[in-house]
Amino acid sequence: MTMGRGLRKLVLTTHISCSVGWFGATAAFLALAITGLNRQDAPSIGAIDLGMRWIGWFVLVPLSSASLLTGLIQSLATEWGLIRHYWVLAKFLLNVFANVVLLLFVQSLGSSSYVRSDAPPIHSIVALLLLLVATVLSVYKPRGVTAYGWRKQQERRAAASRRWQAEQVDANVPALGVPEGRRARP
Amino acid sequence: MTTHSDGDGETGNGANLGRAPSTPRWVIGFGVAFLVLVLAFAIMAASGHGPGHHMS
Repeated sequence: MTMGRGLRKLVLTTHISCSVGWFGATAAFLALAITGLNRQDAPSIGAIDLGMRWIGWFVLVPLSSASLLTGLIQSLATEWGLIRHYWVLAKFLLNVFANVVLLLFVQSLGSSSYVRSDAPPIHSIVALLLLLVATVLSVYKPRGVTAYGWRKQQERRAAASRRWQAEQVDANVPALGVPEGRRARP
Repeated sequence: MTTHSDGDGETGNGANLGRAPSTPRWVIGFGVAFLVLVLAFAIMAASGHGPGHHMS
């Protein structure tokens, strides 16, 4: 199954927007987490907790889910595939892991002991590093195909070769390498 | 285990047609780092220091 050019661009744009938004929201969460470490008064802790909860439930979770979903669509509905290239597979594993951890992590939001602990900054920094690795993989697309991807490539090349040969026969083009003078005249 | 260089299955130069390319070095590094991360997370969660343990 492959998508048309327009739809592919739309899904890619959505995927990039969600992923970049996820990165930015995590950075904003880190800023709140660091602020929470330095504040002891109840109103500040309450405000920071509220901010973290809102960012967690209404920004981070929707963006991370959308990033995973659009990434899946983008890979499965294009020639890249989900398990054909190692970099796509690596990004998928990172995304699933980050989503699972995030869903567990947002359960902790709403606890004042959590806001005052050093866990939120550590979690945010680890999340930022994971997202940075995913971004690097997307931009550099390191080489390497899986055994499945390699088989698919071979099949595609064989099919293209057969198609090309069939087209040559249909067009009645003389075989390559035959001198001009020896070609049969129509 | 050998690792292939630039001449993997994507180049199409025909040098390695007929056999599957071996796993690139970066994939092995990534796999090890990812496993360490997952294990660290699992250990932290099991010991009560992971996310979800601050629920009020």
